[in-house]
Amino acid sequence: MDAVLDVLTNPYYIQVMTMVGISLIAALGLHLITGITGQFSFGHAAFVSIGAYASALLTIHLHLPFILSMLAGGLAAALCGILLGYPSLRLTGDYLGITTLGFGEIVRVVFINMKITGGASGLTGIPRETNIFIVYVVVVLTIWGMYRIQNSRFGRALTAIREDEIAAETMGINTLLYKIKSFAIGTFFAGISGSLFAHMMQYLNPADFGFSRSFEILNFVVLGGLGSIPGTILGTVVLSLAPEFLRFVQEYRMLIYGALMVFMMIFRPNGLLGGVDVVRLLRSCLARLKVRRAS
Amino acid sequence: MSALLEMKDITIRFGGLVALDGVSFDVEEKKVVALIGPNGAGKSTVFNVITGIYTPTSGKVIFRNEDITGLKPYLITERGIARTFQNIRLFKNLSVLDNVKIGCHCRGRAGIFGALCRHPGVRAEEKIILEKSLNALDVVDLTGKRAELAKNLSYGEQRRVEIARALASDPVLLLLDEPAAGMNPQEKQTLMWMVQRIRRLGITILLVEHDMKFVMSLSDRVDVLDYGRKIASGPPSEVQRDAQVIAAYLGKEVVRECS
Repeated sequence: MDAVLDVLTNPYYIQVMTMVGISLIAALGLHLITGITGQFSFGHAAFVSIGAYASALLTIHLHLPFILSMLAGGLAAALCGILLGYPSLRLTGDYLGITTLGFGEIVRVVFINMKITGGASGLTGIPRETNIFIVYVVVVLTIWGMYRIQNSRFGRALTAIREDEIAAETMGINTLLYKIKSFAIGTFFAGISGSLFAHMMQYLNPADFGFSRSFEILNFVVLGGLGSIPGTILGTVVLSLAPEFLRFVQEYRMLIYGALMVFMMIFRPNGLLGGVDVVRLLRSCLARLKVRRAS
Repeated sequence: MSALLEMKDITIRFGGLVALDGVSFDVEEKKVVALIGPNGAGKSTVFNVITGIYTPTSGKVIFRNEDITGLKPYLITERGIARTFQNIRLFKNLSVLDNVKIGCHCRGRAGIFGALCRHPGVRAEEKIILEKSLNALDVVDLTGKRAELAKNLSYGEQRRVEIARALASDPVLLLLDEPAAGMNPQEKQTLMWMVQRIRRLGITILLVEHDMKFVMSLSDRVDVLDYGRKIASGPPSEVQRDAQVIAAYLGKEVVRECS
């Protein structure tokens, strides 16, 4: 019992778990864009940073309550998502990837050069508002929202776009509009994640939101299993914790992390839970258990 | 009364290639009209023009007395034209039922807000969508396979799912692009019954097909395309004997030798 309490109150573990939760929110946003709608975005961290800076500046300068500035951060990211999505979602596949990659770099450079964001030395003085409780409330809400979206007329239209865009369009789906909506929702959650991040770290630096962070979030989604919520959660948890667990090997840490990814791509190219319908699997397991108990 | 669909002098050029050259034809309500012609004659291009995937260089497409030339595909579906594809374009990793449900898309209204709060209106709509989808699957005798993933079905069944998906959009006009391609004689026979069943539902059908037995026994009228031009039109029995049609299919030399 004491050991459990120890883990629960250990500030290091709490910090790590809070970070996992914050990453989860961003990853679930990207899951909607990439996993469900099939649009590759390589600039997700840029939207996280937009949400982070927007909400941080609002709490610092306007002293807005945290909930409001968090929502504002999400909306700011979504607005940028729509502005970027409108021209670039007309493109498909590689081109969209390249556009979002470029956008990610632009955002980073803009934040480095703006006075109000503190430039390259970063933004300080953000009040600490985030705690593990708030983060996991938002995580649960995000999962619930994603689940509802996926199992609706709206979500079906998004999966149709992922599977075959031309067929989706001839089945009566306004594909551009739906892609933009999906992008807006996905980037909204990126912004929320950023707001939580800003109010946890109390310090923001553009370097934290570079290409490598975007790629990390994409890894969470792809390695967990594209198009699956449990997959995205598993991917995020495993890949966020792996570097922490690998701390004992010190400088070989990132090497092993890289090797881990190579092996995963070889043995589970569709991701850990790719092509696995967890709900269906659970149901069939339960049914089998019942049969066994009856006999 | 004017026809349901009128193609008026449609020309479409891809660079130097003239894919359709002044093609005009009508599709009357509740008829089965077939479009035939050798490979590359422009049959699928006609379909792509009608459904809005291509915009013609000149000419007009009139559907129920409204000009629909150059409209976006999803708007055309909304007006009541549904289609299947020559090379099956199902949503492969989704269940058969979901495929068909997506076909209902343009008749629904629920958006993001509805998805999140699932108010009674949304639930009622979902119920209608489910009912409609099951009806459409019933027409093609695939109700029993609704839970399967589309990619796990046989080729013939996949073609039938495509038809069900198109039917789910409540079409007035159904375009079938080579529905019998790659099917064995038995599957073709089943398909023929299904097309007749769909016709009895009051849906007008325009089909492209290479299988002449299939075309001749189903259609009320046959239009023949060759090199982007319409070369013949009439009831199946007449078209079969048309010298130009025979020449298009067999080559002019063969016709000359025979006569």
